[in-house]
Amino acid sequence: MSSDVEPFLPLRPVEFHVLLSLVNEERHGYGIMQDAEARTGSAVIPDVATLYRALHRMSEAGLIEPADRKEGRRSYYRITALGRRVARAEASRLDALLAAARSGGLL
Amino acid sequence: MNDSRAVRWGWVVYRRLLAPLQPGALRTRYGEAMDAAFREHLVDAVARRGWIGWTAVMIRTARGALGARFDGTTARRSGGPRTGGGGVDATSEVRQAVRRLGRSPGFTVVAVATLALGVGAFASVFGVASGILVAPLPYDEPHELVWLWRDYWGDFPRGWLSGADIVRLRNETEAFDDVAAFRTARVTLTDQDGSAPREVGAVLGSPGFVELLGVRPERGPGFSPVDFPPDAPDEVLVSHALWEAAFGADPDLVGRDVQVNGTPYRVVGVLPDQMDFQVHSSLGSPRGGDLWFVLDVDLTTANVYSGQYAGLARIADGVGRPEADAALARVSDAVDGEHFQSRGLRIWPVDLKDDLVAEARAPLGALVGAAALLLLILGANLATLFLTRTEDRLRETSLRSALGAGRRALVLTALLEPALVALAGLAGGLLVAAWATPVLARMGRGVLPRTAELGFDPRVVAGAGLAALLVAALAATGPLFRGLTADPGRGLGEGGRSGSSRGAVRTRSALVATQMALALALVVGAGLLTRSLQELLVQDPGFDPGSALTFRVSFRGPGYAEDGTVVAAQEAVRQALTGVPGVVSAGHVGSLPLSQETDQWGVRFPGAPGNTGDPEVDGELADVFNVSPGYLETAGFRFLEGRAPRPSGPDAVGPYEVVIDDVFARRFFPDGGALGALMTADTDTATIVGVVDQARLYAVEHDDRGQAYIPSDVDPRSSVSFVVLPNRGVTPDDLAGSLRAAVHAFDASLPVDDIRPLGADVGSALAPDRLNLGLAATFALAALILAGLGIYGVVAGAVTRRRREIGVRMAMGADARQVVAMILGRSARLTLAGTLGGLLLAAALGRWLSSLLFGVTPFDPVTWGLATLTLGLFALAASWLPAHRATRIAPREALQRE
Repeated sequence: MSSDVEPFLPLRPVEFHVLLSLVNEERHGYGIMQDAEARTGSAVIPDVATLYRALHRMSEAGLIEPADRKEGRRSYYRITALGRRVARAEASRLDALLAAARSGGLL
Repeated sequence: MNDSRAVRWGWVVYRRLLAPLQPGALRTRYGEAMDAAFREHLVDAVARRGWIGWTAVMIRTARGALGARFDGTTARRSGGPRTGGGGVDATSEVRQAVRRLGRSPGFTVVAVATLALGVGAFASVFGVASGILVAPLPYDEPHELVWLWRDYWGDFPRGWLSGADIVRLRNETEAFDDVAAFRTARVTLTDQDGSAPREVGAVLGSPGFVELLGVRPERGPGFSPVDFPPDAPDEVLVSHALWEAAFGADPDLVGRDVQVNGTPYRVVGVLPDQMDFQVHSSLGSPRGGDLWFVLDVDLTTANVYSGQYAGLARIADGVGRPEADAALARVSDAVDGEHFQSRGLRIWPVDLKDDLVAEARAPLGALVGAAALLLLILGANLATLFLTRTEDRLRETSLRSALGAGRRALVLTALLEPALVALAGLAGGLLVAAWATPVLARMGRGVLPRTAELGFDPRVVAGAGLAALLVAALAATGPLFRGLTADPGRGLGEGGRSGSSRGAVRTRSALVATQMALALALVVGAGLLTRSLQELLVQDPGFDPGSALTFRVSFRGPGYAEDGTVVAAQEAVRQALTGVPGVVSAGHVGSLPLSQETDQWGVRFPGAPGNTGDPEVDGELADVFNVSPGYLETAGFRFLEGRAPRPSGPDAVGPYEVVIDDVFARRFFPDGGALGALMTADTDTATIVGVVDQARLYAVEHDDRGQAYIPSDVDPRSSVSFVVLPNRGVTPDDLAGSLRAAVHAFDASLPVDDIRPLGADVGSALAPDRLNLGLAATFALAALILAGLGIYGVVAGAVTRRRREIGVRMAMGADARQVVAMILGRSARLTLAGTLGGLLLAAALGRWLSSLLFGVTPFDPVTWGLATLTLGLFALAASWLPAHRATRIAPREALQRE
């Protein structure tokens, strides 16, 4: 695990979902909400306020950045190289945890 | 469900409530994008799952906006401490307050729910009242518009103008941009083939009146310019409501022809939704119309003595109201001097809105006042509840003050819980108001003006915000007072004992006494309205409608152009109705009792002993009714002497027969002898053949102008109300079909209105009084319950606090009765204080109510006594429970627990 992603872990679920949604394409705020909903069912989709606070934090931290694309009042975001690494690191961290849970007979 | 409305409400809540909760920096940078995303989210959710989706989105967004995180993981997330040590940190304080409230879900739910109901009730009442009284009318520059009325020297408010007055006002002054003449009417609307007849209200205005109002049709071009082209078809504008109800919102209606009174009219536009233009009839309630026509009358040839129109003027730009009034007065004086021998005829202006809402002002003001009183009680109630909580927490807070958190922290903590509860109550209140406002508007339909414009709008939201703020401020006073006066040093010791400090007890008692005072004022108000309605209900409307039924039929169109045909047709229908099985008798009249409108004639009774000899005093205005044979008997008129008038016949010359009412009889024939005497009107002469009790025309509660009943064939009306008396045991439902069939057997194109009991008109004349009473009684009941809860809390608290003392007393041999007396004595003192305050308040507020009361003064001793008794009983019941519990305190246990 590279040292530059360490300070970001563990990610908040909302942050992880934002990164997941941006891995393959640029999306706008509501697009991210829709994508998270499609991926997980309605249980964990973030609300507007939480989402934008996360987008703000993550832009400041350099995990995502505004894309050039804009549609009316919607701004699009894309994932940065750092964001990609952080997402991957978080996924392997979770994976390791799950593996531990399985070997412990929890799952 | 109405999707767009749900989205609109959600949007309002989000914009006014949730969005402003976001940190400023976030709003500045992402505000627009967040708004757009929220909107899409809401629209999607509503489209997919309706109200469930709506609620889910609103709750989720509210939670996010309040700072609750995506899920619980962040609370344990790494990172330094957020707070700067033991000082005041807003975020963590809020979180703690939320947690504290969450730990007592019962308290929180009850507090939020009562607050939501109170805020919702106030918000909808406030929204409705301000929507009616304050909101500008939906016309162009409505403040420039004034109604013009012409008052004669007598008691005749809102008299009609003559067409000649309108012409003079146009020509002789520059103060007005334009002056238009208005009239309302009832017309028969049918499909093009004459089928599906329906009776519709109409507004008729002189050319240019739509431009004068500044109303633009929602669809269609509107009326063509005057006289262009000269042989163009007659034109009509259709209201939005009628467009939907009668034409199925047909988008192609504009440009088609409809039949009105048998004549084709070209539809040239549909009026905007909620365009509820209403014209006062000269004495009755304001009426609107679903069809707008241009008056096809040459006003320049109008008879100056005949009042026929309401005048509407637009004050010219740059002309002040005083100048306009002065210009009007000049014309008014000229008309009075030239045509009325300067007897005091007066043309006067009144602001459009003031005129429309004049009668609604007092009841709506009282309603808002009642809702505000209820809010005050709610605030005092919450204040006592929060005071108790503060007491309970005193140990915690004093510990903190001992640690140096200081007064500021105490105060902040004391304020946060009421603030949070108020916020939740506001959200709930908005939902309540969103439901209650349309309900209230529907209840007000037909009773209050402008109900079509009402809805869940920013005014309601403002009312809710105002209410929540007020209640939160009040609720915070209890704990705030406690927080400020708490002695940090003594706090620990005090909190160590069970129960409350002396200061808190005093505060709480004062709050409860206040609640009782406010509640008593509300109960007195509701009681007065009840007594007033009782008085009205036993008022004699002057006739006995019994089980008689009534419905209106209009004889218009090409087949009924001649008076003779109309008279014959109406008589034929009356005969047909009399022949319907189950019908005892039938008759018809131009205007029913309590309908508030009929013609007025100037009449004299030459030679009658009641005349003074002064021709000006002896000429009287009479309300004139055109009655068929059988009408007076069928409708339950009471004959004092004589009989009903007989038709005068087609070729009659000389006097016809007339019946007068007791008002004229008393005035002109104080010693009897009216029968056989003459009544003259203009060039007509009639012989009095009967005297009846006056059947009230305007309101059940007062005598009006004298009345005269003339045979219907003397002055035939195209539209008449039939009245039929069914056999005993025959219900309206049994008869409605056969009555309709009897009319349509004569002519299938005749529109037959709803068939209803004649007695229902007496009931609906009291509808405003019932509405006032219903709302006031609801508020009063809520106030009683809240005050009862308040006194229960205080007494129960006292029992807990004095548990040890009670135990000692009982150990010393006090019996249950003495204990109960001791506890009740306390509540009696509170009740007494509350009662005195309440009576003072009721006395102060009573004079506002007096305009709503009939037959009872605001200081009615019976009402005051009963209200005081009710409050006393409530207080007794609320304190009996804890008092009873006190008697079961086991002395040993009480002593040991300390």
